Amino acid sequence: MRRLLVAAGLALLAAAAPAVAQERLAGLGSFEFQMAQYRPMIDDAEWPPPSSVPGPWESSFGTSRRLVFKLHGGKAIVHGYGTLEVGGGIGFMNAKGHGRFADGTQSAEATTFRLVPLSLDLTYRADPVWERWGIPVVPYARVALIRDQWWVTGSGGSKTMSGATSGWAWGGGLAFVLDFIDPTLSRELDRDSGIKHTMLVFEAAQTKVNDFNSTSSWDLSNDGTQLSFGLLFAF
Amino acid sequence: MIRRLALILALLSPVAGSAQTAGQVNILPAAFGVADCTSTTTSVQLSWTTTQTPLDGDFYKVYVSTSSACTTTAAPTATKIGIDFPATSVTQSFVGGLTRSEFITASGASCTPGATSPTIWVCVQHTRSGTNTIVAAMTGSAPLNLSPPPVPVNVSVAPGDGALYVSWADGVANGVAAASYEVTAVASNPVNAADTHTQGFTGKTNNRVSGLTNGVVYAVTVRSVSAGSNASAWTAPAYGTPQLVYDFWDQYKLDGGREVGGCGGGPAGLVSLLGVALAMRGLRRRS
Repeated sequence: MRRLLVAAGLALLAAAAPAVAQERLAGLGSFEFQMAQYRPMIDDAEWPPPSSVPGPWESSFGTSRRLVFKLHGGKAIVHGYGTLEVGGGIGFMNAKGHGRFADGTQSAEATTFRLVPLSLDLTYRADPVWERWGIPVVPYARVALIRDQWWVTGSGGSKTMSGATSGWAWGGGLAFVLDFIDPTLSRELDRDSGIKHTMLVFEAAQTKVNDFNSTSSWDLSNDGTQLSFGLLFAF
Repeated sequence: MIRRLALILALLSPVAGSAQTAGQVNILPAAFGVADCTSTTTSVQLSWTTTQTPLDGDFYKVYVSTSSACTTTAAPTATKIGIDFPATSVTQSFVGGLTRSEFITASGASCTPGATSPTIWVCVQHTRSGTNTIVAAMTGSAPLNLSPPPVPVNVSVAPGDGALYVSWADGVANGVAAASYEVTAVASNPVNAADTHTQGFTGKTNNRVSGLTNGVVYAVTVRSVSAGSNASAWTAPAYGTPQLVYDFWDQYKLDGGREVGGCGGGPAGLVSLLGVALAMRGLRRRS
């Protein structure tokens, strides 16, 4: 049923789109702001269910997912049937919770886990969907190498441990080309700022960040599929 | 681009100039307290910015009183302090000329503790040389607090790691606001007068007193301090004992977590990232 709805939506968009070739999506590259939800696999990887005792992450920070804010830039390297971009990203996530006394009760002392995810990635975007067929929903796929810089603070905000964990990620998403809503405004933006296209992006990714299965590393992969939302500017 | 830059500068300029507004006199300290009535060591600092460009030979006359009158038509009925200052610049300062007690006495303000708190006014007149015409009058004021702020109430203490979290509330208002607070923690079990920690806090009625020893009972008292540095009495003590707290990393390791920290676990990833960066550089050179 859901597939049917998606197909119907795409068909509608195609019908609404002009039947002329669109301006090329990728020029020099792109820049993107992203927000992703995140909860690390630390507990489940080392204290897997059916463990009834909450793991250290859950007892410090709870079970809710946190937000990671990311900036991503890419440079188009291949134009052909679609565009291949090589890019990099940097993000930030701050989880704040409370430390515990020896008897397990919660203290007033704050403890934080801060994460700066760095990435190098390759992105393929199926630009012809927009450029040739005029459908403003462009699929893309991405594969990335990840290095998560992290640090933990404890009582009084002092740093107690820091480190880095590496891994990789793969995923894909849909980029909604906003130009089709108001082409005039889009052209003005291009003239004023050099931004040729603006897109809303929705992405789903699988991450594997555990120092490539190292036995002395925790698992900072996202617990489940990581969903993100962002705004992309193509130059 | 230049127009945008000019607009940004124009928007920022009032912020940049807020420290010394034309036509106003800044007084340091911004408020006086009972202790200032007898202070013979600390001086008062005055600074002002005239609204007129000083000409050769112009001078500033500085007056202090408890009256706000300050015009360009006549000299105020106030005590003139210092000499006539040669007006060498638009913004000028008077530093180190009077002690705080001399300044308060010159203003004619009463220093009786508990009396109604007066306001001390400073008037600076920018006077043309020769004609003695007053071309600009600048004024500023500072309150003289003669009463302490109310004693804080509802003091509560929660343990932290080598610290105590202390919270309190303002007492019943008596017309003098608390500008800051002082919190003292004294080791009471075991008693150790040397283990005393006093910390000052501004703007918040809760804070963390650090530098304490886990397992020691501390008696915590709080007092409020007015802008003029008048202090209230100390509250009755509340007691708390700092305790060891396990942060997230401590808990992870106590539970047997395998991560060791540092970058030792992930060189492969870093090498991979560097490899991609180098490959990119190579591609760029070829193109």
